[in-house]
Amino acid sequence: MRALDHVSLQIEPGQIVSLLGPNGAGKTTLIRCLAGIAAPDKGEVYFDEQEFRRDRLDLRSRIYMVADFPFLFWDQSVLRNIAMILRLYEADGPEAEDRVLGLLREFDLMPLALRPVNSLSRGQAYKVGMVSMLAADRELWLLDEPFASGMDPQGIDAFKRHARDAAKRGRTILYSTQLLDVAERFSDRVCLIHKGEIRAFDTLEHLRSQAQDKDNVLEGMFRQLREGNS
Amino acid sequence: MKLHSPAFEKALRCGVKGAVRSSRELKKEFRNANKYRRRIRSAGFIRFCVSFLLAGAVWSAAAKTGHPATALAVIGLWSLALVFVSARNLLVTLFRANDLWTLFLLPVSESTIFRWEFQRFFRGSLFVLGDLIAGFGALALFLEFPSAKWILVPAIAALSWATVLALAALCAARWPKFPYERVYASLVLSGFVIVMAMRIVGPFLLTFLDPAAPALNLLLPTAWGPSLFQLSLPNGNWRTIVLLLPIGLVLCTARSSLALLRGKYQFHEVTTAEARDLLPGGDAEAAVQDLDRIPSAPARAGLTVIEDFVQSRQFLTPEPWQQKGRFEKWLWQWLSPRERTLAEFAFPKGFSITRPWWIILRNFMWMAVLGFAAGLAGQQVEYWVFGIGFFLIFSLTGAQILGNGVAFQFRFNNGVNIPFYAGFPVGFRELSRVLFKCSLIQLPLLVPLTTISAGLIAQLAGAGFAFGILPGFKAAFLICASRLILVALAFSSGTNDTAGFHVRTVFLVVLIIGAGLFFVILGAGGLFLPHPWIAWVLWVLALLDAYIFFRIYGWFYHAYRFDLMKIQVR
Repeated sequence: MRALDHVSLQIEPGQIVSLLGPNGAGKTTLIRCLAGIAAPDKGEVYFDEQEFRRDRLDLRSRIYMVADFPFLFWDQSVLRNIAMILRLYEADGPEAEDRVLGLLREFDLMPLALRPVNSLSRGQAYKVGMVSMLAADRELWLLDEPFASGMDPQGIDAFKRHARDAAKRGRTILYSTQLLDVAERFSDRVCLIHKGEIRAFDTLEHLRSQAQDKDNVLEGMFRQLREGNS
Repeated sequence: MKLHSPAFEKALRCGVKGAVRSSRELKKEFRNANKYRRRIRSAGFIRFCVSFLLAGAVWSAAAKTGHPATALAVIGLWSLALVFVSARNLLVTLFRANDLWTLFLLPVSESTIFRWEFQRFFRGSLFVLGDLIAGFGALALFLEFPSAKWILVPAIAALSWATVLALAALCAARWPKFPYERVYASLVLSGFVIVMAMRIVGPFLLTFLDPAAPALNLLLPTAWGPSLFQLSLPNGNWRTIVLLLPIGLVLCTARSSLALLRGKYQFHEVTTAEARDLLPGGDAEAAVQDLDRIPSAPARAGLTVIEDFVQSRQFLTPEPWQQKGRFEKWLWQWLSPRERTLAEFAFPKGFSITRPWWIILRNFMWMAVLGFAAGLAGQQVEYWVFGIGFFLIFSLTGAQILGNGVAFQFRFNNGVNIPFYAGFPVGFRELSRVLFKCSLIQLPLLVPLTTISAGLIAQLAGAGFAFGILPGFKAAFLICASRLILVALAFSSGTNDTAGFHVRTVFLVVLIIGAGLFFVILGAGGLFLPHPWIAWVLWVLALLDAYIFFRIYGWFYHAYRFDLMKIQVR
């Protein structure tokens, strides 16, 4: 059984791409492959036309991954986490403090800034991961199920706003989700994975033009997958 | 014990089997899912081989000394090690099992869950029984037992096994905070070294063990059961049967131990105090101290304090270690800015050197005082006090020199465990360099410890203090070099070569086992060979072997030969 099979896709800079697919389709595995955590048996990953390898720290430091449970120091404070992550990404230059201050306010983390992460709720902890990612401001953002992370609507809204701004600045955002309506509204391209294979990778406009039910494009595609299965 | 109805299980099993048989795709998935079972089976096979190792050791001890009591002492010591291993396994199974939280969510009583988990531990402990049967079997074979006497083998093995389990339960219930994990790691490492360097270490251990065997068989609770084996010998002392009394007492503790462990399963609402703010020091701390005076409220920093703290960039300054001690200060100065970040990443609470080494020194002094005082009571007692003391001191030293902090700790993520460092752009070489520097800075402390320890061991063995100085000096460098091997191994958590047979996987396995063996063999040769030049050459080769291993392993790591995640074995 292969988690991913013959996956080939090219993502242009400045795009928001949603990864869709049933549970166990291979979305998280694809994200892990792109982050260098899962090692593919065959094939290569290219980033900015250069082969992505684990020893290419210069490339790895241009990518930020927020896993479903963000990688944080649970017994350290929110601020210490952010500071350590910024230093790891060498993103602690001038204006980092203003960026962090603004993000803490936006994500409602200011009163919790000195609180240990293990005393926060799941949604708040995810926000810490999110703030770290936004403050580090890397070129490629990889997010595993950010809309099922327990973040409150204010946090989700702030993330969407930042992601759109970042995409305009040439950042690329790749996220997995099960929420079809969110994916329809919040992505430039959709990548549909099923049983480790890419079934569709296109812009929403193009998918819509080909679909019979123009209002529920993604739902229609999922239905087709299910019917194909049965 | 079953958590559900047998009829339901049977119906479910039949249904699943029928569904799998009817679909080609499901058959394929079933085969893949069964990989886990194969993995568990191979673990069982390895454990089975360990039982044979004990059988070999017992046979060898009996053959070389001609004393069955020495062979029984080997079984007693092995059982003692198994008490620690079993106590650790019991605590892990009862309180850290993967299925525990799921079970607590189900409408199942706590006592049922306890029984369920304990049953799993009990099944696993059958390997201990296997060890003991193999050990006693080997001795019976050596003594050419008539067939009628063979009945004693399973009977005494079962009694010894029950004693081990009762002692393990006692330890887990009464001293749950004892560092079983650390003792377990030390035992595995010591066992590996003894097996690898058996030709050199074996005769030495045997000369040490043979005269002490009768005392050991009397003093060690785990040797009481094996001592009953002497009843079957032609010249066996019938008074040995008295040992049934203390064995009975040990077995009687099992009931209360289990009751104590079961008591920890009772539901009680856990209320933890509200977390206080973690104050970074300096102005922010001073500003918040006033709030701390209100006893009922946890310390909280006001928004202005936090904003000032961020705005002034204070929060971005790494927390320095130099205030802690001289060695920490030297290490901090030795690290580049990037390395300091990585050191803080691996050791977010700081890397302590001075304090742990004071503890090691204090324990060493205690061991020396107690050891020499015990020498007044008898040489054998002196040997044992020093033996146990050295084991504890080198366990502590190993943890201090070879500790990785939180860098390689696993974090559960979407069905797999991922090491912490894998979530960040942290390189193999740079993190290894930092950890190696952390070990190397302690070399000036390690060299005197190993030199004096080796001198003491040589003195106790009758070779004279001076004889141990050079091997002790060399051993310190070998311990530091072993850090390169251990840190490289820590970087991977499994190979991705799961799709089929690959020559490179065989090469990798040969490399890991071969280089590890070479390191131990070259190191042992470098320490113990009498010819000085050859010993020095072997010692240098052992250091080189560790470095070459590190570089080759790093190449595999960079070439994507390892997944950085571990699938939980169900």
